[in-house]
Parts: sequence; C-alpha cells; structure tokens
Amino acid sequence: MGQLLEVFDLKTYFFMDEGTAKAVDGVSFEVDKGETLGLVGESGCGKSVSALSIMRLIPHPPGKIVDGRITLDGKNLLELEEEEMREIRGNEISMIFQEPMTSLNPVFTCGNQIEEAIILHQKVSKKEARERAIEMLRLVGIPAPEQRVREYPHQLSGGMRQRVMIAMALSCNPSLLLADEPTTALDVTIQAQILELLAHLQRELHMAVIMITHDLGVIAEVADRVAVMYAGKIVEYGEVHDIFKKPGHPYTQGLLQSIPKLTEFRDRLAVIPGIVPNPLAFPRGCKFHPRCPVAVDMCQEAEPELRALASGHWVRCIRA
Amino acid sequence: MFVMNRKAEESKGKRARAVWASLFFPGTGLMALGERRLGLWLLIPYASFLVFTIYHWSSVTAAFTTGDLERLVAALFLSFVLAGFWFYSLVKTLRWDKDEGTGMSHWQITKSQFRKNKPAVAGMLVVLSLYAVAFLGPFLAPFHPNAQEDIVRSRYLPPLAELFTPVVTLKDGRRIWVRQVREVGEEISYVPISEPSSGDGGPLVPEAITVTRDQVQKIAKTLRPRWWNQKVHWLGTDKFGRDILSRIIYGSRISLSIGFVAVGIAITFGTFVGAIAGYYGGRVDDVIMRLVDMILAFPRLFLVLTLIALFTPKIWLIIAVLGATGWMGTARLVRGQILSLKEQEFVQAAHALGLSIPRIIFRHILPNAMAPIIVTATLRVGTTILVAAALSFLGLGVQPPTASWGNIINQGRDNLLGAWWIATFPGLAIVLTVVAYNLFGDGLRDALDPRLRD
Ligand SMILES: Nc1ncnc2c1ncn2[C@@H]1O[C@H](COP(=O)(O)OP(=O)(O)O)[C@@H](O)[C@H]1O
Ligand code: SF4
Ligand SMILES: [Mg+2]
Repeated sequence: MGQLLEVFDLKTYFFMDEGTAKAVDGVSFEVDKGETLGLVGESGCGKSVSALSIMRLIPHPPGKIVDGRITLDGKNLLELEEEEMREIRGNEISMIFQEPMTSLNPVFTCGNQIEEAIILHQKVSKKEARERAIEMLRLVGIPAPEQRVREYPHQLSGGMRQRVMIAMALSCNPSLLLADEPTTALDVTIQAQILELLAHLQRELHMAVIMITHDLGVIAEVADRVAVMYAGKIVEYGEVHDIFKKPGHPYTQGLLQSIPKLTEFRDRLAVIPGIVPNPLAFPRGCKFHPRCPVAVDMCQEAEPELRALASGHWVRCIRA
Repeated sequence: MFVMNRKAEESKGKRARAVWASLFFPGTGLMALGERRLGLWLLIPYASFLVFTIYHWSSVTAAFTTGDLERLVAALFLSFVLAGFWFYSLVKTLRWDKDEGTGMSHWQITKSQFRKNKPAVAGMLVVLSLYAVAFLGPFLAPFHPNAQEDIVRSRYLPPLAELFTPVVTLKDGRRIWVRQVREVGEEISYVPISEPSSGDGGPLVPEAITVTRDQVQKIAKTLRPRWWNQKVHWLGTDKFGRDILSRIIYGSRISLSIGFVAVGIAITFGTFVGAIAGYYGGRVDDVIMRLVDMILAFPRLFLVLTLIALFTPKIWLIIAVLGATGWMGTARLVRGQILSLKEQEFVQAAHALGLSIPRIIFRHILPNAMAPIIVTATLRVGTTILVAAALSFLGLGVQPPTASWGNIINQGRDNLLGAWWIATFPGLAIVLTVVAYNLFGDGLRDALDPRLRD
C-alpha cells in the first residue's frame, strides 16, 4: 500500500505573553493508505495540536505552524490557499472529536448537519443529500435513521451522538480520518462498540485513521503503527507489536505498566511519577528526565535524537 | 386487520370533514380534530378580523381604488391577516396526523414554556393588538387626526363629549356638515366643515356657501347615526379641537414603528459588530470594544439630541439616530456569547468539515446566541419608544401636526390641570406599550433561559 500522509518535522508553537509554548516541536510520521496510526501520550503532550495542524485549524493568534511539511497524496498542505484547504477538510481529511455532547450543533437536526458537508463538497441537491445522510446514519448503526435525521442532538445519547459525528465526518468518503480521543468521554461498553464501528467502517471505506488517545489499550486494539508523544516530540515510533513487546523508551514502558492486567494482582495501578512538564518551561536535555526512573547525569545535558532500535522501530533515549 | 382498516377509514373521513371546516372557518377543523386550544386561538382572532372587515366593507373595498396610501396599507394588512389565519389553519389541519418527527427543538420547548407564563402571553397579545391598531388606524379612528371640526366649539372637549353638528340636507341629496347656518330671507348661507375623514386637505375655514331655501330639504341640529357610529370624542379633544383618541391611534404608528425599526437596526448592527469582535478577537476586538466603551460613556439622550439638533427632525432621521445610538449593548452581549460559543467543539467540527468562516459565524454560532438577542431586542423596544416619546416631548421628534404620543403629551402640557385628558391618555398608551413589551421580553427570557429549563 502506498503512502497517504507524510508529516515531516512539524513545528507548531503558541506565542503567548508568558512565553512560547512549543506544543509540537519537530514531529514526523507517515500514514499509509488504509492504515491506522495510533498517536498516544498523556494529556497536554501535543496530540490534538498535531491533528489540528494537519487540518490547518490551529487558532491564530496565538498558534502558528512555524515549520515542517505535511504532504497528502503529494500535495504540501501547508502551501495551499485557505480556499483549497477548505476543499480538503471534511472531504479528503475528516476529524472527529472527544466530546460527543458538544460537538454537534444544538440548533440543527442531525440530518441538517450531515447534509451540510455533503452539499458543500459533493454539490448535490438537498434531496439527494438527505438520502445520503440517512444512508450514512444507517451505516454507522443508528436504528430508524429516517426518523433520527429529523431529531436534535439533545434527543440522542452520547454514543448515538458520537455515531452521528462519525456519519458526518465520513459522509464525503475521506481518505484520512483524524479521530481525536473519540471514545474517551464514553462508557466502556459504548467505547468498544464505537471502536468496532470505526474499524468496520475503515475497512468498508478504505480509509486511513489517525487514532489519538491516551489509552494504550485502545491502541493495542486498533493501531497498525504507533507514535508515542511526550512534551511535543515523538519519543517512540514503530509497529504496534514491537512497541508492546519491546518498548524501548522508559516513558512507553511506564505507560504499558499502567495498563491494568487481568493476570496480575496489584493494590494500586503503577503510575508514572511526577507531572507533565509545563510547555512554557520544558526541562533541559531529555524532557522526560525529571520523571525517568533510569535517568543518568548525561540525560540533562542534551536532548537525545531519535535512533533506530530495530528496523522501523525508533526511540528517543540514550539508554535504550 | 379489518378493524384497523375501518379505523383508518374513519379517521380519514374525519380529516376530510375537518379540512372542509377549516376551508370555510379557520380553526373549526382543528377544534373538530381535538385541537381545541389551537383552534380557538385561530378562530377568535380570525372571526374578529372578519367582523371588522365586514363592518368596514365599503371603506375597505374603496381603499383599493382610491389613491389613499394609508387606507390601502390598512386594507392590505387586513387581507394579509385574514389570508394568513386561513392558510395557517388549513395547513395545520392538513398535516394534523402527519408525523412531524419526534423532533423537539429548543424552540418548541421554549414555546411550551412561554405559554405557561400568563403575563408574558398577555404582554405579547397587547403588543400584537397595538400593531394591529396602528395598521388599521384609518378604519378605526373615529376622526381624522388633524380634523378640527368647528374649533370654537370642539376644543377642549372632555372625554366622552359629543359635538352635535348641524347638518344641511339638500334636495339634490347632498348632506353637508356645517359649522354655522345663517338664514337671511330666502337665502341660507352655511360654512361647511371639512369632512372629518377626508384628511387634512382643504382650507381650515372653508368658504361660506349660499343656497336658496327651496334647495334645502332639511336642517337637522344633530347627526345621530346608529349609536356605535356616533361621533363621540371618547378621550376628549385638544386645544385645536382634534380628537385625542384618533390622534393616539395615528400616533401609535409613529411611536411603534420608530421603536420597532430603530431597535431592528440597532440589533442587526450590534449583532454584526459583536460577532466580528467576538470571533476575530485580538486587535479587531480591542478597537471595536473601545469604541463601544467610548460611545457608552455619553448619556444616550445627549447623543441623540446632539445628532438631531444638527438636522431637521424627520422620522427617518429619528429612527437612524435611535438605531445608531442603541447598538452598543447588543454588540457587547453578542461578543460575549460568541467568545464562549466559538470554543465549543461543534465550531471546531464545522471548521473540520470545511465550512467557510462567514458561514460558521452566521449559520452555526449566531443561531446559538439568538435567544439572548431576541430577549434584548424585545426589552429594548420599550425603552426606545420611551426615548422617542421623550424626543417628541422635547419638540425634537416628529413635528406637528403629525401626531406622535410624545408630541400629544407635549401639547397637553400647557393645560395639564384644565384639560388633563390630553396628556394623560397618550401617557397611558406609552405605559401600556412599555409594560406589555417588558412582560413579553421577560417571558421570552424565562422561556429561553437554559438554566431554568429541564
Ligand atoms: N489554543 C491554545 N492556546 C495556547 N496554547 C495551546 C492551545 N492549544 C494547545 N496549546 C498548548 O499545546 C499543548 C498541547 O495541547 P494538546 O495538543 O491539546 O494536548 P493533547 O495531547 O492532550 O491533545 C498544551 O499543553 C498547551 O500548552
Ligand atoms: S534519555 Fe535519559 S532521561 Fe530521557 S528517557 Fe532516556 S534514560 Fe530517561
Ligand atoms: Mg487533546
């Protein structure tokens, strides 16, 4: 399968009065057609900013993509006019968000919201758009879609709304879906249903997915490749089984240990001690060193580069 | 199976009868279908307007042919209202059992909330009636607002006074209201007064006309048409002998339209400016909001007076000035709403679908801020009517002889004790309007406030 998206050395900074937050600082990854990339990391590490940068939806001011290249099917998205970019959003790249309660507009019916994108990108009549909306709702597993198109978001449950969101995002057959913590706000049972639905739709519609989450459990279930982010940088990158079997970075190891296991009894879940560093004042050297259990003096001096641990498995740690 | 068929058939027949009923009498069909309340709400106003139309039938039909714009507008208003009720009721009847979806929008919730608030419903009905009165003024007013009849006898008449007028009936069928009749031998000379309804055209004191006695059929002291048509000055007359009730009715058009249009302009502009400031933020926001602060630092009446003093007061100027000085509050309100709304995920989602920024602002964000905008708009009409009346009172509003509530009060000012009715009744009209608007607005706010919902 060919390459669909390449993000190269992406730098997205927020320029604020208190200083510059380097939310994404030199991130590179690739997504092949039809593949799922898992983007994982603690809250605040720059996952959403990476996704929004791909969409070019960074709020400006204070945010700005200062450097890098984002190539979709050979086009550098960062060089497109805003007009051309709008053609891509919702059409070639779609995005779904974490909060199903607020990501649908309360004053429109579900149908209207789905139709809007269809009419905009596919230039079809209202009637055709309505038919397509109903079809999409059926595809995402909403019962009685003819009825549901006329309902308002507040009449639906969280899981249903997330399905509507997915229907909306997929209505124009995008080749890439950015799913920003799509299940974080949902109950565990519904989480599983939504993940299953996404996997099913991905196969059906042949699209690539970037699955953003802080939950390695989700990654294990859906991802082909994984990028682990810490403080605006990718600290480990590789095939999903490599990462789970032989995690190279102490941070990844910590994340893995904090997943509850059925085979093991523990009083408390293991946690990574310390807190996520403030992006306005990152520590010198390896940004993880204040929390790293295996840190040595040298870690404070210079930030390590990504290096290959095995073929296709990259780690940013001097001791790996 | 068979039973179900019969039931379906029955309901079909019921519907057909209801449609026929609605065709002839709006509302009745719905009542027959069990929608008693809605039916009554349609039937009662429809019937009232219908009775009114039939009663004024000749004037209404005449309005379409004579070139009198005021009457034409009134007649058109009547036609539209009647057609509107008829059409709405018919559509409602036709779609009675059509499944409207289980969709219960915020508006529907609001509607049912609002209905529970009786004072607010009363306020809304008063407001609607006031506008109906304003539109139907030419048919409703017993006198022309500027007609003076016989000024010597007709000025300062207290409420409920009747002015008996001599009427000369000529043999050729003409009947003329006269101010004075003088008989000298075979000759009778009379000074006609202008037809009360014929407008302010014609000289104030028309020339005397002299006819011979045998041309006259009858001279009656009074005109006593049917009782309801009596020329009674229900609310008295002013110092020029003009009927106060008629002046209030005509003046309502000025006051209400100033209030409505000026607020419309102010709200539209304020919403636009506030939306831009709120959405773009940064320097744009700073510039706009500092401007707002600056204008707000001046008392409104001072600004209005300064602006109007520079030009001659015309109604459009007053509307423009009241609009131009009334938008800042809305701008602030909308800006605040947009600031919080634009952070919501549905806005991000709309961006992610590739919608354009104007579309996102005006179609996705603004409708979510509509509730508070509508509420302030409603509440503001009252205060704007007050400012407009204050302007008129100060002599800077609509200029006499055109009646406005403010200038009627102003003219009653010199004889407040002797002729209390001149200033009192337009004052009451203002109070009624402002109170009605405030009740309406408060009710809307309560119904729309999500914190009170659930
Ligand atoms: N609108 C913004 N203004 C300022 N800083 C921001 C903004 N959005 C994100 N950031 C910065 O980027 C960092 C990463 O945010 P984000 O990508 O949302 O984290 P997450 O990985 O949890 O999705 C945050 O810690 C914050 O410092
Ligand atoms: S570089 Fe040093 S501090 Fe950073 S993760 Fe590796 S061992 Fe820990
Ligand atoms: Mg996030």
